[in-house]
Amino acid sequence: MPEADAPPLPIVVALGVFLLLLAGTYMVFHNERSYRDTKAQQIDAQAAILASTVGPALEFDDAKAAQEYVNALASDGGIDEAAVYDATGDLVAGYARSGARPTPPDLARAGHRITSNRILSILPVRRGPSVIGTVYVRSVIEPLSRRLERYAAIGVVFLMAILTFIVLARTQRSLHRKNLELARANEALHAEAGAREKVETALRQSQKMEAIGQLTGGIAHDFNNLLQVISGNLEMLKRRDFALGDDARRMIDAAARGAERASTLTSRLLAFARRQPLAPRSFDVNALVTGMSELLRRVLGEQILVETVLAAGLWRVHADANQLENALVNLVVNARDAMERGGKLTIETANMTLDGAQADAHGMTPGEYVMISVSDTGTGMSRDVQEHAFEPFFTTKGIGKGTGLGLSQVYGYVRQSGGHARIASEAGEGTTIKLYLPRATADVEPAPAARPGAASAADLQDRPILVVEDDEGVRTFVVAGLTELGYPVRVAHDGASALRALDADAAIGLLFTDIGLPGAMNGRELADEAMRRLPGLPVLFTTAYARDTIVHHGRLDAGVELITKPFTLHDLAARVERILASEAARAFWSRDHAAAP
Amino acid sequence: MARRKAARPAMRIRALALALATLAGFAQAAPDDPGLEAAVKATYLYKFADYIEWPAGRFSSPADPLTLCVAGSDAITALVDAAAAGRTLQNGRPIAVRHVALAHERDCDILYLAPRREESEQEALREVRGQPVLTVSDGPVVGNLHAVIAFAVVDNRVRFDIDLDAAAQNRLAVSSKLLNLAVRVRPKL
Repeated sequence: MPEADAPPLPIVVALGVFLLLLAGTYMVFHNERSYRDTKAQQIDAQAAILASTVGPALEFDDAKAAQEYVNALASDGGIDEAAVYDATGDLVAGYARSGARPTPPDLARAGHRITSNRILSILPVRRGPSVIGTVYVRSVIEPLSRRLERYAAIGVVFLMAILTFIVLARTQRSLHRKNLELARANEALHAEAGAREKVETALRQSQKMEAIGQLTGGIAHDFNNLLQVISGNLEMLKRRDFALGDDARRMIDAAARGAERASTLTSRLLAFARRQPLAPRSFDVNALVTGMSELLRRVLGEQILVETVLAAGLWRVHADANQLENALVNLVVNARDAMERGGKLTIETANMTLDGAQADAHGMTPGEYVMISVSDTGTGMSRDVQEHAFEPFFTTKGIGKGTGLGLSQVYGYVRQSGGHARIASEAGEGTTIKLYLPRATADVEPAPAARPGAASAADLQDRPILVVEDDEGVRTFVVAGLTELGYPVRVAHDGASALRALDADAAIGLLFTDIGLPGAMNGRELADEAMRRLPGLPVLFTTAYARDTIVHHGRLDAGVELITKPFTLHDLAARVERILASEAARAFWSRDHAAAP
Repeated sequence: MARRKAARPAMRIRALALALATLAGFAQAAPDDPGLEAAVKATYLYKFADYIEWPAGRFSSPADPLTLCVAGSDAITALVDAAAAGRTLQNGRPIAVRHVALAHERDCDILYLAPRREESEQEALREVRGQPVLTVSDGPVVGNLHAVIAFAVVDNRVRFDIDLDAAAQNRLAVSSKLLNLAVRVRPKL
């Protein structure tokens, strides 16, 4: 700590030193005064003794005796002059250390006098009422230097006291400083511990979510393949003109509906697991919210007031707009369920720039985000509920009322989009859920999707489609479906066999491949190799979930065609038809035709 | 060692003081002049009374005067009378001066035997012996009986000797202050 910041010498100490000095000075003065007083008393006493003893000598004119008395006085080292005078003022006996005659002042003035370095006393010698003479005694006051020497001892004591005071003060000040430093360090330690705890909590939470995500993702993947087989075959069953009774058709429809619901469930699980394919683009959130207002009002009903606070100059975001709509609907539904007796729902948007510290506190990466918050005035959430709110299948709603997937889907979507979701809630005080979506780096609208061309799909139907699928059930269904749609089909179960099939039949016009393939080559790599051999070859991917092979950070590469399982035959037909009708496909076809003899 | 060192300056100072006193000289009571000597003696007489203690009951009251008897010439009596005129003792007791003839010295507190006559002195002393009378002789007494106080001239100055034996015989106590001033003190036998 710099010296300038040190607390000033405590006033108490300064005061103490001052008082000590004052006391010291007073003691010296007092000593000096009492010394002089005592000395004066002594001299007066000496004079009185002389006066009383010298009386007879004066009466009987015995100068010798008087001189003896004076000499007796002179043996006192302090007395430098002493004398006896008769009634007429003539010297009878005297002593002066200087050797000269004693030099008394006015003899008529009895009493003692104190000068700077002498004390003298003059007393009349009486015989009854008459004055028969005068005595005069003078003493030197101990020289100042001698007295100061005596005071020096006191001075040293005072000096020591003052020094002790100062040392104590300094010690105390440095102690105070050390204490402050310690307190500061302690504070910093606490803050750091708090921050670390927060980060650890966030880490644990994210690890938990990650684990749950992997689990659900894995389950959903397998489920999608199974559902594909079930729903596909049910569809085939209906399409083929089997002689089925009405009962059988109803049962098939019921099974298909079940499969469809299962498919919805798995897609939501995938959304939470951040493994749903997203089609991000740059868009204006305010426009999206405004466009949804009618829908939201319908969802909320009349008891709930809706307010939108949309920031002016809001940045565009880069995300999947449809999924954001889904997310908002999910949030609004939750808000409605929390406000059974009515209330107010507020949707707010704002630009947020998070610096390192802010981002760390929320487990996010620093940068620019668009915040979309949905607040309600409902029942709110306890801390415990908040901790689990984003987990799949966690619900506070009654059985049959909610799936427990709404918030987890929102969470998965936002995370997959490179953003974050946060809950702020107090039980009884309502809930605010904030979504942060990253700002679009470039406001570029993706090129409009290629419109189906004029060329009839029928022209192209003679070109075989290469189906690469490791799951036998799915493969069987796809082959059967495409065959039924009239497409010639070649089949492979992995990358290597697919390439062999491609080499064997140069007329292949479309590669339809699963992304997850066994062996050395996944679907993406297969497509790359195939396009290297047949430049411009149209490719349609399918997946039970989209992993990084084509979905970078959960977002589809531009121009990549993907159909997610489970799909219906109708979906498949539409996609295949659209691809074959596209400009790119036709360019490929015409080049291929030209190349063909 | 230390004592000797301390003593030396003191001795020197005393020697110096003595020298000074001698230099200063006190010619005041120079007895070269017989008239002056008699006058000095006359003033001393009543002053002695302050330093003498008579037996209890000698004076009935503070106003009871001290009787100073002069056995001598009229001239001397006149001198003494003049010296004591208007004077009292330190305790305020009045002084009465009386001229007495030898052998008629009654009711005296102080008996001044002047001038000197050896035979009559002895007779007078014998007369008052055992009585509370302060006897003062004009000079050293020759004979068996001594006066309590005897004037003497030392270095041309009027001084006196004190005979404590004589004082004791007359039941008188002499103050040590007076003894200090005496040239010689004859102790009690």
